[in-house]
Amino acid sequence: MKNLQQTFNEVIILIICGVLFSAYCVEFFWHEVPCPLCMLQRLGMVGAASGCLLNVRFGIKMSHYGLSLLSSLVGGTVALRQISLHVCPGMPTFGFPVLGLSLYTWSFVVFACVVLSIAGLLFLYDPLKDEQEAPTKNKLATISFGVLLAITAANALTTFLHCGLGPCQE
Amino acid sequence: MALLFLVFTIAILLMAFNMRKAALIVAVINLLLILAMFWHHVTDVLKISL
Repeated sequence: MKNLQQTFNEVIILIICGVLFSAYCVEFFWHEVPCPLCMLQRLGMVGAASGCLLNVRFGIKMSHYGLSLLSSLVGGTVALRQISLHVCPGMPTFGFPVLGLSLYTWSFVVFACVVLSIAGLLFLYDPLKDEQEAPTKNKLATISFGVLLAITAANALTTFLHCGLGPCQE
Repeated sequence: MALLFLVFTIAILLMAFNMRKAALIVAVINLLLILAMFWHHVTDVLKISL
């Protein structure tokens, strides 16, 4: 059961990295500069993936799931705020729509899915068994660690080039 | 905001050096900074609309 939980955590990390990578594709291929709220949503995704990465590296723990849930909650709130800014009829949406929905709406869907999947994983969680066993090291764990580190560092670099160390301008 | 990404990068690197507690604390502090940045943005918009 523990291996199943670990694999699910690795899959969540890779899915979040895929979403961050696709945001990068939109940024570079459609030349869309991300807004400050988009950056905060990306940060929320990195935080949620970091919690899952802690599970993968150090074993399943409640505090790791707590970090993922908290990050998803923060990111989801930011996404909801951005949706509410554009929800009035006649208001233009921000950015390029993907499959009929704006990127910030997709971002809210991603955060909701992360919360739902962690809720599902918590059903499998057994504190007596899971916290005593050491995590198993496999290829997927190494790949998810490398991909998350690379995408977070790349985001740090491109954000620095766009807006420096301070807050980004609208 | 680049600083916030940088702090997450440091948290992930701390995991590579088996510093679990430090990584967790750094990530949680970063989340608080994200919330502060979000609050800064919300109050800025409120000021403009008022």
